[in-house]
Formats: sequence, structure tokens, C-alpha cells
Amino acid sequence: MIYLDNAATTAACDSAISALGKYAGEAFFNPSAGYAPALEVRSALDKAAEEFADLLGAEKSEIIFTSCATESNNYAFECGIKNKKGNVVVSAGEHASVYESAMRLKSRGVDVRFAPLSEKGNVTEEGLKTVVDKNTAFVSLIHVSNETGVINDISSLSRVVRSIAPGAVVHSDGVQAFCKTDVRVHELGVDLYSVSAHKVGGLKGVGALYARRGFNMKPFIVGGGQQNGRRSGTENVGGIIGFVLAAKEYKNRAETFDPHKLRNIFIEKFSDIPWIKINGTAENSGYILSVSFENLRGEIIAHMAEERGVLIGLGSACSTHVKANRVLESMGISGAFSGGSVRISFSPSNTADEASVAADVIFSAAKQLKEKING
Amino acid sequence: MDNVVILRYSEIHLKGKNRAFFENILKKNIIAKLNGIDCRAEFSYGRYVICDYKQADENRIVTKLRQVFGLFSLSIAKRATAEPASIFEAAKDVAPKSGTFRVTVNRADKTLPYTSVSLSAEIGGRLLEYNNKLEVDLHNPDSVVYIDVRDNRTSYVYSESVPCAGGMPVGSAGRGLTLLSGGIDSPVSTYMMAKRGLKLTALHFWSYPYTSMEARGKVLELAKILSDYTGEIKVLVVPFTKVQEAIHKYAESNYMITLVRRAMMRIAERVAERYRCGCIINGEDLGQVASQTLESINVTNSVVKSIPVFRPLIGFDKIDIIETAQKIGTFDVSVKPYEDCCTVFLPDSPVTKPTIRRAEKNESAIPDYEELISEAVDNIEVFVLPER
Repeated sequence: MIYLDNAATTAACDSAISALGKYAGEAFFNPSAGYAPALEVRSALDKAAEEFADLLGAEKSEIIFTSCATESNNYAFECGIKNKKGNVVVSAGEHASVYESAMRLKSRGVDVRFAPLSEKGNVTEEGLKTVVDKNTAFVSLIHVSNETGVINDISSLSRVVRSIAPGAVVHSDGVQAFCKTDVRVHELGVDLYSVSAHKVGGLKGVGALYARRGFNMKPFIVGGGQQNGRRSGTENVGGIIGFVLAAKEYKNRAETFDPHKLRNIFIEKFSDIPWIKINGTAENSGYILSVSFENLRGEIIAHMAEERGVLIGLGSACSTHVKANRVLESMGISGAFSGGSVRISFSPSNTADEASVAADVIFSAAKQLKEKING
Repeated sequence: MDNVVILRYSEIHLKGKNRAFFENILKKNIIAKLNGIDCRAEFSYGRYVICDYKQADENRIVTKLRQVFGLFSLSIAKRATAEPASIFEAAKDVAPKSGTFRVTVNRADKTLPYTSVSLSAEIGGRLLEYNNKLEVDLHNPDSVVYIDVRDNRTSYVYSESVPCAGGMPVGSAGRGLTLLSGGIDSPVSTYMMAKRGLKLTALHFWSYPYTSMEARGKVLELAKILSDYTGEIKVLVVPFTKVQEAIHKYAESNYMITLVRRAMMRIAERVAERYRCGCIINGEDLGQVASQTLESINVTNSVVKSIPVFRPLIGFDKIDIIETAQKIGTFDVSVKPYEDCCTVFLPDSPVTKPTIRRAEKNESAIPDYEELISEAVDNIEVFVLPER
């Protein structure tokens, strides 16, 4: 089996699994308790938080661990908006957790605006300027698109926001960027930044939100006052420590891994075929490739590839069954292509050989389907 | 004095000499439904009682029994002796706390030293003395306290009747083969025919990779919900891809759906024979879509020669079907957005008035048509719900 749906989730690494076992078993103690074994757990957790902050180019006090990036994004929207009378800007290419958070605000009467995507799949400074104004209170822009892998230049874009609306809060969903591109949050110029564990070899059920020092982040979940009162609930110690170990390992492996090499194998295979289109030609993380097949259904191609031992995705797993692909359509891709899109996503565990086999499998599946449909 | 659940059956009382046949199936279904709950079922003429259960299980018993076809209604009752003092103790618990009421007595045991009228007067009088917020109204009371004195010096006192599923006991009308697509309609047609006493086997056409594993999972989930009413249900999944591909390749595109449905009916008839089903059931509803016009139904129906095809929803409005689907709990699963095989290779303009002649001509253009149908029947995958 060749697994190429790493943007949906990755296999947890051994160290993350061991950490979970360790902190559920021998070191099960509550890190908020006062006895010695619990203090040891607390100190392991503190050390992990410090290392994690290092990975993001942040400080330990700026990290809040959550249950997933969806929680981080919801937290940002629920508690990160300071000027309740201002407008909110999100890009048209956001993950469902940001899009739905924005739509919820809209249903409450907030002026929500969508920054357009270019044909290349990114948010441009010009596009952003059409929706941000001095009354903009909150801006959320995805760092790397979960659909296409296209990178948004967050530091330039946040500068644009601040030049027009100095008081605006800037959030970025960094789930597909963390450990895959060089993320230094202070240089990105954001106030809030969301990441997830299970996209980088950690376990499901763990995420984090970076909140810039000095940014007053009120709690979304209240209770026992853990994490300096910003996110109550006994910490998922094994999950968090496993997250940090996994992220470190992933980042190390990513340094010697060239996802573009694998991605290009597909691009070469599919190029010059008029009924196949690569979506998003702007700068790419290399970890995600969105391909569309004209007048075919992506779901069927994915099933056919599965039968031949290749697992791929259909855009964001959260929207697999939504017929229209919101993000691709906002890039101006026609319905004939957007309905036939698949998402191929890599991890450092994938090899060029796997990519070659998978490219052949996907191409032959699509060709076969096209022949069948055309009779 | 303990709590019991009194059950009343529906149409069975209209039966004559074969009444025992229906009653025996109903009793068996009741016992099967309560399997796993510590309780006892007492079956006497015209009156079934569930007793000796733990109080904590009472709601579960009621919920389960409300899904048994053949039961008309049930009541949670207090069981007392035939002595007025004992009956009054029970009536105290059952009677309302305030408002108007009456007492209605049914006395099966004619040897007792009181009549129905005198007992109702006595219990009503005592209840008035006991609670001064109560008033008697014989004609239009807010509540009625029913006292049912049986032959065995036992009486049951209750106030409310809860409606049950009605219909006839599952299994009393034989076995049918129901086509289950995963949409809103077919679970409802399945439910309706189970209600008329059919034991059901379900048939699902699966077109992987054109439809997903999830689409099949959805059908199994629907079957599991239906099994609350039908009892254990076998789901036969037919690999339908090759048949559909062949039809798509060789037939006129506007006849695609007609031919697919004729193939489904052919397969269904053979499966029905193999699994000893005496009829085919589908969820067609006249005029709902192109394949459900009178002409289309005629053309698809014409391939079935040996058994009847029942279409319990034929005269229903969609809104009524949705209402039933919501009531039986299948709607939320049915609307999950997984494609079913009917949407594969969908033509832009399907024929609404097909003819048998043209359908046959199209079929004759498909090489190895007969083999494809047989291959589909031979490769059926069987699932049994609920899983044991």
C-alpha cells in the first residue's frame, strides 16, 4: 500500500506512541498535583513546551496546547477578536474550521469579508487590500493551503493588514506549514497561529495555538486554570510530549527530504494532458498536490487507485462529501474540473519510487474511467 | 403491588380459526425483542403482560415493545389483588394529582362479590376522600383510572395507553425481498411491508468504485435501524459495477436508467427465488423521478414474471415519506451525502416514457448480458444485522 494522504493525517512516530504509553502508564500523575512524581511530570511537560516554542521560534509563555487545530482556530475566532464592532477578513481558501467559524460570526451579524484567491491559488497583497480597511478587527489567512499546498506569504500579508488596520488581530492556520516550511512565528508578524500534532507524526487529539506575548487571550475553556488559565483541563501530557518529539523528528527528516521531487514526478506525468489540470501554481510547500480531471469524479478515481493499492485524498477530509470544492472554485477553476479533483500529499516517509508507481496508477485509473464514461 | 406492562394487540383480534398462528408469532417476536432483559412474559387470552422486571429497565422495555409490529398499545400498570383495598392502593398511585377523573372497571371474574359499577363507585369515592384536589366527571374527565380485574384474582390499574407500532407480527405474512438503496424512500417501504407482517431480506446494489465503501456502510446502518422493527435482517450486497458499465457502454444513454432498473429487477427476482422470498418490494413513488413514471414502472416491472412487486409508497407525497423516515429514525442516515448506484453514469435527459420493445432492443445489444446478471447474483456478499 502506498499512502499519499498525509495532509489528512500521518502515521504516529514511535516516540510519540511511547510517550503516550509512558504518561498513561508509569508516569500517569496529574501535572498539577503537588507530590514528587507529579512534579516530575510537570517538569517534563514544561520542558516539552519550551522545546515546542523553539520549533515555532516562539517563547514558552506564548504556547497554549489544545485538543486539535480545529479547537485552536475556534479559540482564535471566539476569543481573539478584540474590536467587536469591526469587520472580519478571511481568505477564500481557508480550512473548514476557519470558514465555519467565520460563517458563525456572519450569522451573528458580523461583517465577514473574503479575501479572494488568485488563479495561482494564493492571497495577493492587492486582493487583500480590496477587503481590509481601517475598521478591520480580525484577519485569518491560511499559511499553507490544505487543498493545494500553495504558500501564502504571511509576513508580507500581515504587514499589509497592519499598514491599513494597525489594531487588527492577525491569525494564521499553520497546520500544513508547521515543520514543512520554515515557520518562525515572530517573523510572520501574526498574533495567533494554529498547529496540529497528527499532521507531523504526532497523535490525534493534540494541537496548539501560539498567542503573541502581550496579546491578552481570554480563555475559551474555563475550569481548573491550567496553562495559565488560558486553557483549562488536565493537560494531555503524553499527547503533548509526543507531539513535541514527533515535530522535532519530522522537522529533522524534512530537512533532508525534498517533497518537490516527488510532486514533480506527478506534475511531469500529468503535464500536457488537456483533461488534467494541476491546481495552484503559486509557490508551494511541495507536500500537497491538487490535481483535477475534467468531467470525472475525484471520488471514483480515488476508489480505483485504492483498489490498486494507492491511498489518496479528496481535498480536505472535512469536506470530502461536499460536491463543490469551495477552495478550487474560488480560484476560478470550473465545475468540470473542480468536481474531479484529488489531493495527493506526501511525508518524508514517501519515496520517489512510490511516487512513480502512484502517478502511473492514478493516471491509468483516470484514463480508464474516462474511457468508460465516454463509452 | 408491582409494576407491569400490559400489551394489547392490533388486528389479530379480527382473525378467526388461524388466530393462534398470528398470536404465536407475536409472542415469539415479543420474547425475542426482550431478549437480554431480565423479565417475564405472561400470555393469556387477549391480554399479554410483561412483569417481574427491574424498575430501571421499565423505559427500555417500553421503548423496545413499541417497535414490535402486531402490538396496538401498551400501558404501564400497577398489579394488585382483586380486593378493593389492594386495588385502591394501586389506584392512589395511578390517579392524577388534581383535575377531573373517572374510574372505569372491567371485571372478567364474575364470581367476585362486587359489580363493575359498584367497584368503580367505591374506588372513585375513596380517591375523592384521599385527595381533595380531585373531582369526578363521568362524561369528559381529564383522566381515567382503568381497573382491569382478571380471572386469576389479579387486577391491573392504569391510566394511560401508549400507542405501539400496530400492523401484523413480522413473519406472519411470509418473506419478502426489499430493495434498499440508501435513499430516503426504500427504508420507509421496507418498514411499511414489515408492518404488514413480512419478514424481510434486503438487497443492495453496489457499484464500487463508482460508489464508496461509505455508501455500503450507510445501507448497513439503515438495515440496523430497521432491524429494531423487522428483527434480524439479512442484507445481500450485489456487485453491480460490471452490469452498469456494460449498459453504459452499449445502450442508448437516455435508456441507461431504465435498463439499470430492469437489470436490478431481474437480479432481484433470481435472488428472491434463491432466498425463498415471495415478493419484491421497492420504494417507487409514482411520478417522483423519470424512472418512476407509469411507463417506466411498466417497463421495469415487465421483467419480473414469477412474483409480485409491491410498491407501498406508490401513492405517497414525498413529504409524507420524509415524515415516516424521521419517525422511524432512518432519515438522518439516508441524507448522508454518499452517492448510490443510481447516480452513476446519470444521463442528462433520461427517457420518461420508455417502451418495452426499445428496452429489449437495447439489452440485446449488450454482449454477455445474461452472464453479467448471473455473475452479479453469484457474487453476492451477505451481511446480517444487527451483528451478533
